[in-house]
Amino acid sequence: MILHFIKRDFNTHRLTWAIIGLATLLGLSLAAVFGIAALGILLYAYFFLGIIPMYSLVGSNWRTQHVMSRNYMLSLPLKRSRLFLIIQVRALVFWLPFIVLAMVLLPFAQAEMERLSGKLSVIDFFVFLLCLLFNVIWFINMSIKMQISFERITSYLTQKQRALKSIGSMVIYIGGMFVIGFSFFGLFALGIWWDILVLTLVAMLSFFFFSSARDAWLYQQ
Amino acid sequence: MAEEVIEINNLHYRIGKSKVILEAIDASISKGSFVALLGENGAGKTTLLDLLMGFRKPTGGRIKVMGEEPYLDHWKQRSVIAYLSEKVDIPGDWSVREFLSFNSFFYEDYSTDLEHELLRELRTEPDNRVGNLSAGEIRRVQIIAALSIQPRIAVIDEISAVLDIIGRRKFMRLLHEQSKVNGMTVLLATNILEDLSNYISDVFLISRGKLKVFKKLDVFLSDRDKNNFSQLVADTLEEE
Repeated sequence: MILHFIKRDFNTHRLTWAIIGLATLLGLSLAAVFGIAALGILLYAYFFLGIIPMYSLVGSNWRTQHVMSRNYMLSLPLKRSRLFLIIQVRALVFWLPFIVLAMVLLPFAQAEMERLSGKLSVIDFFVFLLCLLFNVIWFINMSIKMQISFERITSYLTQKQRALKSIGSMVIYIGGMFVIGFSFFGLFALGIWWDILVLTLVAMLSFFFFSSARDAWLYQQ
Repeated sequence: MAEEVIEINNLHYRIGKSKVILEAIDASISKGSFVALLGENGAGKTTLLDLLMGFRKPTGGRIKVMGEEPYLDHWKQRSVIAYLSEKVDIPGDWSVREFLSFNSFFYEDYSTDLEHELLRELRTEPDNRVGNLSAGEIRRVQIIAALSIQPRIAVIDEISAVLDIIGRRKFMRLLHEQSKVNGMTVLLATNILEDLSNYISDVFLISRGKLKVFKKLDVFLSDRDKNNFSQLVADTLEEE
C-alpha cells in the first residue's frame, strides 16, 4: 500500500530527484577536491528536498492546484489513522538523504566538536541521532499543521481573528525553530544532562506536533 | 418497507461556540433514492455532505450511513461510497489512465469494463495529462473513477456547474440509471436546477442551516400546485 503511494510520489517529483542527483554529484566532486567538509553544502540541498514536496503530500485546500487533495485521500477506503502514517512515511522518504548525510558527516565533524566540547561519548552520538530523527518528525508534522491551520485561517474567521491566528501560528513556528536551534547549539557542549534535556524537549515537540497535525488533518473544522 | 441507507437524527453542527452551520436536521433516505440537496450559498449543504463522509464530527445529534456513524471511520464502508466534489483534486502530471489505475487499486469491486464504457460515453481520452484538461474534463475523469467502483451510495457536492450542457445531461442520466437499475442512492448538492426534476426522486431543502423541506418530488410539486420546479424552489427558500 505504502509503495503504491511512494511510486506515484517518485513519478510526480522526478525532476526534484534529478536535480538532487546532480547536486549530489557536484557535492561529491567538490569533496574530492576540497575535502569531506564540502559535503556540508549538500545538507542545505537535502533540507530543501525534505521541505519542497510537503504541499503535494498534505493536499490541504490551501494548496497549489492539481495535487492529490486531502478530501480525495480521506474518501478512499483506507483506515484514516493508517492513511496519516502513510503520509509520514511518504514525507520521510524525502528526508532520507538529509538523515543519511547528517549521519555520514558526524564522524568527520567529531574532531571539530571535540575541540569545542571535549571528548564525545557514544551516548552523545546516540543522543544526536535520536534528536535528528525526532527533529525530522517534528518538521514534517509542523508543516502539515501549518498548512491545515492556514486553510482554516483563510476560511472561517473574521479579519481580527485571522490576524491573531496568523501571528499565533508564526510564533509557534518560529519559536519552535528557535528552541530547537538553541538546543542543538548546546548539544555536546553542555554535558549529558543538557543532552537529555534537549532529547526530551525535541521528542515532546515532535509527539505534540504529530498528534496535533493528525487531528487537524483527519477532521475538518 | 424501504431500506434506510442514511439516517439523520437531530443533527447539529457548529464551528466554535457561536457559528451555527446546521441545526436540528432530521431525515431518512432510503435505498435507490435520488435526492437533490438544495439551498442558498452558505446554507450548509457542503457541511452536511462532509458529515456524511466523516470529514467532520457532528457537534450534536447523530448521522448514520448504512447503520454506522461515518466519523468513527468505518473505512471498509467507503469502498461502496462514491464521493465527487470540487475539493477532490488529481495530480496534474498524471495521465487519465494513471489516475484511474491508481484509484482502482483501492476498490475490490472496481469494474474495468465499466470504466472503459464510461470513458467512451464521456468522451475522455485516457492518455491525456490531467494538467492539460479543462475543469469540466477533469470532473468527467472523476465521474468515471467514482462510478467505476460500482457504488451503493454517491455523495456529490456541486460538480455539475463546470460540466457543459451535454456532459451534465450525460452525468445526470448515468446517475438516474444507476439509481433506478442498481439501487444506488444519490445525494446531489447543486445550485443548477435546470432539468433536475427529470431525474430526482426527493427534494431536500435547507436554509440557513435548518431543514426546510424533505419530501418526495411529486408531493413537493403537488403541495404548491406549481409545475416550474426552479421557481418553486426559489419561492420556498424565500419564505420565512
